Order: sequence, then C-alpha cells, then structure tokens
Amino acid sequence: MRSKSKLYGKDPLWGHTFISPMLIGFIVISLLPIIATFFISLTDWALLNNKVEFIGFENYKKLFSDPLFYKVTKNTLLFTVLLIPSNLVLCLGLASLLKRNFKGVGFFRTAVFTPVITTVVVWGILWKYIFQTDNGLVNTLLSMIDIKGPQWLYNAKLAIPVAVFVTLVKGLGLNMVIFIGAMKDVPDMYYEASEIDGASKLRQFFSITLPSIAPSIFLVTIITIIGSLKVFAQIDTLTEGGPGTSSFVFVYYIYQQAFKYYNFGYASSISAILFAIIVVLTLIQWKMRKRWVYHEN
Amino acid sequence: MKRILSVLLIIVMAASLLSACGGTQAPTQPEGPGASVAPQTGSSGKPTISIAIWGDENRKKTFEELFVAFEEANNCDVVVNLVAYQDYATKLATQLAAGNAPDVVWLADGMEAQFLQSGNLVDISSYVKSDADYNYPDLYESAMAAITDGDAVYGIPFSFGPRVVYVNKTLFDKAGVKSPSEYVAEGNWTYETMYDLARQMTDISKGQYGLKLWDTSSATNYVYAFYDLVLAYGADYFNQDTTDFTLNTPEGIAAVQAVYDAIYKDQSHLKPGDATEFTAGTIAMARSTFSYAKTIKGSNVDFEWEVVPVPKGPAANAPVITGFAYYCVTTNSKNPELAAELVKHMTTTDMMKTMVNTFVAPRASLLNSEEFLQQEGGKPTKDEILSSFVHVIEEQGLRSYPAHKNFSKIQDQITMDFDNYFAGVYSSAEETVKAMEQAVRALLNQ
Amino acid sequence: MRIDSERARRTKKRKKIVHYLVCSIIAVIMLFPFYWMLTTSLKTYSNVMKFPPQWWPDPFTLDNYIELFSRHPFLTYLWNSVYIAALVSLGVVFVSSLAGYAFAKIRFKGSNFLFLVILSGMMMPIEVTIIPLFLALSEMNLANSHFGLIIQPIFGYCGAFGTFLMRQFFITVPTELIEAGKIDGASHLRIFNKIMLPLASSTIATLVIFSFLQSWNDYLMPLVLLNDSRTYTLPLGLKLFASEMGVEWNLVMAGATFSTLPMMIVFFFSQRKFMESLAMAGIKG
Repeated sequence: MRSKSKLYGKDPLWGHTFISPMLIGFIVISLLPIIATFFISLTDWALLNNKVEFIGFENYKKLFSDPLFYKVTKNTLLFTVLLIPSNLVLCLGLASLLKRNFKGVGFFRTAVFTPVITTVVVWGILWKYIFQTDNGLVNTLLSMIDIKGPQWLYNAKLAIPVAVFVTLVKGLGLNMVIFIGAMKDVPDMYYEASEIDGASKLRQFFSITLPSIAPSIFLVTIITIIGSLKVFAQIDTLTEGGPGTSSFVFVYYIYQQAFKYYNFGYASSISAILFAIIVVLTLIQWKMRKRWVYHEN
Repeated sequence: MKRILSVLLIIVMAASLLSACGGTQAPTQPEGPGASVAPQTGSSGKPTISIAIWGDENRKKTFEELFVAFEEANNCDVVVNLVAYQDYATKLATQLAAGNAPDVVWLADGMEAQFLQSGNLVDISSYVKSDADYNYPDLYESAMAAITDGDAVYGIPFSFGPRVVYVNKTLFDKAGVKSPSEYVAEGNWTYETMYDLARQMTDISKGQYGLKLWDTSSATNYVYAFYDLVLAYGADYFNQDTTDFTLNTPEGIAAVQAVYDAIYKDQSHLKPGDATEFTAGTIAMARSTFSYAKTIKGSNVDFEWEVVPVPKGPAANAPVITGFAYYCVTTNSKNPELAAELVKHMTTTDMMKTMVNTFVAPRASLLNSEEFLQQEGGKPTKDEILSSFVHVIEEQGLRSYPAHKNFSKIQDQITMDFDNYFAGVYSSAEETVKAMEQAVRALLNQ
Repeated sequence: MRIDSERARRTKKRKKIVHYLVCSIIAVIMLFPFYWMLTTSLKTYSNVMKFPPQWWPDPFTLDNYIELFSRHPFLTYLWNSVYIAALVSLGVVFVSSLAGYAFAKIRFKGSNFLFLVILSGMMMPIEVTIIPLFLALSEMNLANSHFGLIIQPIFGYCGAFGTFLMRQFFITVPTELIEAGKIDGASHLRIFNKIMLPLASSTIATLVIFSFLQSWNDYLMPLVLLNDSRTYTLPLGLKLFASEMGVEWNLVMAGATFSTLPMMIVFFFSQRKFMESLAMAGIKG
C-alpha cells in the first residue's frame, strides 16, 4: 500500500494537468451556457426587446399546466422507444452479416454507410421528396400494386414513425461500424471451442458475441437515447412538428418557443426539464451497466 | 507524420486556451481560407453598412452590383449577409439578442409587427418624407399601414401584390374545356367556376391535377393561404380591430368546406405533402405570387400558360390580401443615418423600376410604368398584368395582415387546426372552425 | 465420408448464396435514396416532378452541376466543411484522450465529480444554450468566424462524448502497464504518449469518425455564427436552394450528390483498413 502511494505521489498534479485543456474549454463553452440556461429559465426574457425580468418558478408552473408539454413528452418518448430497439436489432444484424471480409464486402459496407455521410439537411429533404403524398416514390410504388398510400408526413399517426424510420436508416452505418469493430475483436478461439461443443450460430451469437461486445452495445444505446431525446433536424425538415402538433418533440418545442415566439425564458425552462430527464436516464443506465457490462470492475 | 500531428495538436490546444482566457485578446484571425470577419470599419477606414437578405448567391451578386453606386457616393462599404429564407428569422433573433444585428434588414410578412412592437426598428420618416424626389406619397397607403405608426415610418416595402392564378392553357385546349380567361372576359370568374373547372381537368391516372392553391410541399401558413378565399366568401378570420375570431359563420364554414372538398372529395387539388410544381405541366391551375412568373420563364416549360386574377366569391368586391417584404433599419445599427440612406437609395422609383422583374414595389407610378407592363419576354402580357394585378388592386383594394402582439401564435394555432382537419383528426369544417374559435379567442385575450 | 463432405460443401455454397442475396437486398434498399438523389440531379427542372416519375433522366443533363458551380461557390462550401470537421476531430481527440486517460488511470481529488460535470455536456440541447454561447462568442469577437465553429464541438458535445469514450477504453487497459512504466521512471506524459495512445488507436478512430460527422452535419451553429456566405459550410449552402419560391430540387440534389460522393469513395477504399484498426483493440470495455 505504501509503495503504491509513493508511486502515485505526483499524480494529482498530472491528473489536473491532463484534464485542464478539456475542463477549461468545457467550462467556457459548455458549462457556463448550461448554468446560464437555468438562470434564464427563472426569468421572462423576450428575446427581441432584451427585457429580462426575474419571475422565479413561474415558467415551470406554466409548463406543468401546459397540455402541449405533456404531448411533447409523450411524442419524444414514443420516438425514443421506437428507435432504440429497432436500431440495436438492425445494427447487430448488419454487423453480423458484414463483419467478415468476403468478396464485395466493401461495396455492401459502403452502401450501409452512405446515409451516414449524407448531411442531415439533405437527408431530410430527400426523404420528404420520397414520402410525398401522391407523387412520391413510395406511394408510386404502392400504387403499382394497387395500394393507395397514406399522406405519410401529414398523418397524425404516421408522422413520428416515419421520422423514426428516416433517423434509423441514417444512423445504421455508424453503429454497424462500431459493432463490427467490437465483433472482430472477439478471439476466434471462443467460437472454435463452442463449435466443438456443437453450438449453433444463433447460440454462439447470444452466448459469445453479445456478452463480448456488451460495452459497445452500452455505448451505442447511450448515444442513441440521448440523440433521440434531442432529435430536431429530422423533424424540422420532414414535418415541422405537424400535422397539428402530432410530431412536436422536446427540442422542436424549445426551438419554436425561442426562435418563433421569442419566449426565451420559457424555452429555457423546457430545456432544463429535458436536461434533467436525460441526466436521470443516463445515471440509471450508468448504474445498471455493471449488470450487463462485465468488463468494468 | 507523427511530428506533424503533434504540432497540429499543440496549435489546437494553444488556440483553445487562448479562447478560454482570451476575452481581452485582440480579435482572433479566422482560420483557413474563405473565412473572414466583417469589421465595423473596412481596412481603408471607410464606414461599413451590413444588410441581411434571403435568397441565393445570384441575388446576392445582383444586389452587390446595385450597391456599388451607393458605396461610391457615400464612400462606404456595403456588406451583404445572405441567409436561407427558412432560417432568416432564427438568425435575426439571435443577432438581435446579442446586439449585433445587421444595420439594414429585410423583413417578411408577420415579422414586422413583432420587431416594431419590441422597438427594434428605427424611424426613418425624416429621410424619406423630406425629399420631394423620393416621392413618398407615391407609396400606397394601404401598403404602409403595417409599418407606420402615426408619422413614424419604420420601413419601406419593396415587394407586394395580390396573388394571381397561373393557367396551363395547353391542358385546357387538349381537354377542350373553356379556359379561365374566357370566364374572366365574361365576368363569371368565381370560386365556384374554378372548383368546377378543377374537377373537369383532373385525371388521377395521368397524375393530372386541376388546382394548386398553395405550396403543398411543406408546412404552410394556412391563414395567409386561405385569406383571399375567406374574404371572397364574405367571411373574415377576425373583426375590424382584431379582438375577436369571426370565422365561425355559415360563410366561413362554407369557404373552409370548399377547400376540403376540392382536396379530398373531388381529389382535384394536390394533397398536403405533394411537391409537384406548376412547371411540371400536370397542374391545370395554380395560384402563386406574381413573381412566380419568373420561375416559370426560367424553367423553359413546354406548354402555353396564361395569367388570370384570383376569382371572386359571393362577396363580389372583397379586398385581396397581400404579403409584403420591407427594408428596415435596426436599432443595433451603429450608423443609422447611412443605413437609412441605403434604404432610401434602394426604394426610389428608379431603383424599383430596375428590379421590377423580381420584386413589384407598391408605388402607384411604378404599376403604370412601361417597365412594369412590358415584362421580360413579353410574358405575362400587358393585358394579363392589368387584369390580374393592377385592376384587382384598384377595384377590389388591398388588405394587409392584421396586427396583434400574439399574432404568430394565433397564426400557428389556426394553421395547426387546418392541419388537423386535413389529416383527419377533425371530421368536419364545423368542428375545425369551432376548435379554432375556442383556442384563438384565448390567445386574443391574453 | 466423401458424400458427407460433398453435402457440407453444398450447404456451405447455398449459405453463401443466401448471404449474398440478403446483403444485396440491403444494399439496394440503402442505396436507393442515393440513386434517386443522383438521377434527380441529372434531370431538368420540369422533369423532376414528372408523373409517373422518371426512373432514368430523359433528357440526361449536366446543366444542374454547371449551374451549381457557376451560381454558388460550392467548392468553397465543401472545403470549409471538410477542414472544419477535420480540425474538430483533431481537437476532440487531443483534449478528450488526455482527459479520458486522467479520469481512468490517475487518482486525483474530485475526479468522479468532474467527470460527471463534463458528461453533462452531452445532455443539454444546443438549441437553447446557443443563445448564451453566441452572446459570449460575440463578446470575445469570435462570432462570424470559423473559430467558434471549431471550438464549440471540441468543448461541447463531441468533447464530452470523447472523454466518456476514452475513459471507457483506458479503464480496460491493465494498470500493470502504467506501473511498469513508472518503475522505469517514465512520467505520465511519456506513458500516455508511448504506451497508451498506440493502444487506443481504434477508439481514436471511432472518435474521429464520430466528431467529423457531428461537425459535418452541424446546422444551427454555423447558421447562427456565420454571416459571410463565402464562409458557409455545405449544409448552409444547400439550404440556399430552398427559397420563398419553393425548392430547386435538381440543384439541391446536384449539391447533395457532389458532397456525398467524395466521402463515399474515401470510405469505400479505406473501409477494410478502418475496420481492422477498429478491431485491433476494439472498445473492449
């Protein structure tokens, strides 16, 4: 014990030195604006005339009696709940299909990765064009087999699922790449040993692959959850929150309040709530990770 | 390789540290080519005026050329900030919050009221009213209503006008259907006729539609889209002083119902979410702004087209609604005199004449000028312009947008309720209008 | 015995065919939007909306690309996007690998607390912090330059994520390696440089891609920060084609194709090496 503390003698200094570039920059660029947001949420700040008035917790009171806030919460959770499992299943499937090097694998991987490198703005516009009501590609194809396609983006029930689909397809490639990296890292001898035991491919996937890449799954899940709670660009280009308010999500509501109605105080209070939700969800996952990510002590 | 990498890392670190403690540092030079910082005064010490516009690089170039004369006359630099149309308001709001909005800005419909009421605009009346050459009274009074307050003038409109209906003549000829221009000549050009013609011209199997009243490709401001129609049916969204919502009348419901029927019963109108343009040649009649003619000409369409006025309704001489775009000077400007001079320079009769193929300014002398009536390529023709534009303004009169401090919320509320009607959430026009009434009254009284 | 191996070979072959078939179907689905983007960019404006849609442009035209470059400084947009994203990735790797290593392997007071504080950077949406941030950057005279655009992700979402990612990686590196280094008299900086960074190459690769793409896709930050259209990035430039008169689909698609294609080619030729480097250490956890 004594020798160890001697070994780590100068460490606190090193630790502070190592984190200082990140920490100093972070405080200025991220932390101060975050703290500012909490303060602003206690004010009535009309962005245009820059009149700031301290009003205590009025914004929060208003928020909890705002029916749209509950709808926004519901929509955002729906978006997240639809996206997370489909994203995991598809990405794991794709990674298993494309993890080994075979002839043409580069082409297939590039195909899956292409949406990732298409910028979000273009991706949204492109799908809006494909999902047009009567003349869009999807409905034209459907009409060939005599099905009358719905108003994909102008339908209260379909707007969110379509946005989920568009987000899903865009993100598959990146997550697949992460999973392939992790899968390639699982030592072959594990598989060889289980093959001798006569385990099926499916069994191998569940008993070897999944546990081995658990940290990557954990990572991808965390990013996807945070990303989908903060979803904005796709909704903005595809539906602008519509029809009505049926695809209003948290950040869209924040954006509308801040930049359309210039209610910056109110927008900040919604942000603070969203921030709290994300923090709580992340902490829960963080606590739970020990159950399924074995590698970390 | 490794060495280069580490050098680069050190640069990034140094830069980040500088920014962290560098509130007092001299303005940091932008990195890489293409970056530039717009300073308050140019390198030559000349004053600089910034102006924000929407559009594309072509428009930016056009304006930069137009500013050259002004720059020389006033020994200054004019910097053009180009912003995409959809994001213009967002960008401006942040700039105003930070106190560094451009000196001169373009404002579109609905924006001006909010900016005016929150005190972001400078009164330029002394610049435009005192100069006889500028001919201030030449500007339509109705066009100035929303941007003036008593004697104070907070901006000058550079674009306005009623919408017009574009007709695909070739489609009508092929179908052997009497075209809208003939109904106009007979004095029978009504909404009923238009819906009827739309039904006749629709052929779903060919992807051919009778009618497109608004840009169905994106979320739309339905208040603006249906305003003419509502007025023509003898209804109105609001009472005179915008204190009450008044669409819940038989006339109002009939107007709303007629639009719904065209889309879903007759299927003669494009559905929300369809991006087909008039230029594709599969739409018989499309209502759009007057300047859309430029787009049609630019895309070399392979069909004959003509322009007719918006139809009349049961309320025969109801006014038509117009959208405006204004030049305004912001209170952020460090050089408001020069900024006001620039606005004046850009809105003289002569300047507006040179722009007439892009923007139609609300000057009486301009509307009757040869420059306006002789459009590029002779299209729209002089007669078309007179009947669909000039006469509509003179005979029916213009109506500008209502002003209310909550107007952008009210507008969104009405739009959402229309959206819900078209998406099948509400089952009838009555239900839709009733829902609007309830929500909008609450917003009006807030 | 021989029949058995024959059968095994046949099943193997059948499996291979099924595998290719499944992959091909996926590729068709994934590439279809891109195909549509490409063909639309080669159509004339009036043919973009033809009914039924044209599966192949007729007439085939390159005018949209000519118009794209004559009307807009598109190469400048592309260059701006690329170099900003590259500097962002570089900066993120630098600050977050250092911080991640410290949080994982060096004991110092408040390390857990500070780690959580930095993580919060991933959780606040930029749509609202952008206003206080913009006020601060304007005060520092950093608005209207690429500089703010580069440092914001480094110390914001990307940096926070990177710190998290790197910490997760360094935790899995056996502490014995560090101790061995210490006994040899190496400082932390030397250990970090000579032992840790090479080990982390795969995680760094992930981080580079992630940061690059975040910056590449960023829209709101450049919108708010940049005034001069010569400093615009691709997403901003592409948005200029959607005017008050509607969207010029053919031009947008030409711009989109032009900006996606080079990245596709780069990925195609580097993917094998890239996947291998990912696998070298993996995010072992």
